[in-house]
Amino acid sequence: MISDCVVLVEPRHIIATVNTYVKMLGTKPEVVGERYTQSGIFSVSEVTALIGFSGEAVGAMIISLSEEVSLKTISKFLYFEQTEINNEVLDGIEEIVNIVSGEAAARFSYQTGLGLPTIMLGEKQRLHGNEEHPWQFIKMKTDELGEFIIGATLKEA
Amino acid sequence: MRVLLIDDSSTMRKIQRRSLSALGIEDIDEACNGKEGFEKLQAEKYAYDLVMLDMNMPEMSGLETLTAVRADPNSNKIPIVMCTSVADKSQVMEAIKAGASNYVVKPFTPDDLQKKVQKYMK
Repeated sequence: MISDCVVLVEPRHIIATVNTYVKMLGTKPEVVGERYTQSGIFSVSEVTALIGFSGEAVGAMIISLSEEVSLKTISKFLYFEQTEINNEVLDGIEEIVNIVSGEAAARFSYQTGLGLPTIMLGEKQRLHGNEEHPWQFIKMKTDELGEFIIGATLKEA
Repeated sequence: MRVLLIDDSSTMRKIQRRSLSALGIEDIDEACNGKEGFEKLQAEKYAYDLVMLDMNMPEMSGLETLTAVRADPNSNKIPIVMCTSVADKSQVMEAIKAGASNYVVKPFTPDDLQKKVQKYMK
C-alpha cells in the first residue's frame, strides 16, 4: 500500500495521460527526463488544472501547461483554433485533468473518488508541498503540442 | 434521430456533438446538468431517441438523473448511454442496475462513441 504513496506519477499517471491524449487528442505524449520531487513553495506554469482525490487515499493531481500549449491542446481537442485563453479553453483543460485523473485513480489499489477540477491561471503561479508528502512531477511532450507537466501528491487517509 | 446530451462540460458536449454529426445526427439538444436535462426531457414531451448522460455532475448526478428518468413512465423506455470516467466503475454497475442501456468510458475515441450510438440508430 505504501508504494502507492511513494511512487505516484509513474507509471499510472503516465499511462492515463498517454491514453487520454492518444484517444481524445490523437497524439501520443512522451516522457521527457526523469521524475522529480518538490516540496515547499515552487512554481508551476500559467495554466494549471488541479483535481483532488478523496477516499482511502487523499491528495491531488495537476496538469500544468503554458498558455501557448493550452491553446494548441484545446484547438486539437475541439478541432477549432483557439487564439485566447477563455472559458472554452479552460473547460477543455479541466476535462483533460478530469479524464486523466479518473483513469489514474482506477489504477490505484485504494478506493478513491475525484473532486471537481479547478484551474489556476496566470503568471507566477506557485504551489506548496508538505515535506512528508511532496509533489512528484514528470515532464511530457508531444511534437505537435509542446511540453507540459503532470504532478501528484497522495497519502493514506 | 433526436439526441439529448447531458454533461456539465461544454467540451464534452462539443466532442460528442461532433461524433454524432459524423453519423449524420444533427437533431441534438444539450443540457449542462441532470436537473436541466430531466426538465428538458419533460418540456420536449420525451421526444428523444437517445440520451447521453454524464455520470459525475453537480446539481443532479448522472445516477440521480437516470433514476428519475426511469421512474417516469413517459421516459422509462428511452435508451440512455452513460458517459463515465474509468474511476466510476462501481457507479457503472449501479447505473446498469438502475436501467442504463449502455455506457462509454472516458477517454474514448470518436469511433468508440459512434459504435455505442449506432446500436440505437433506426
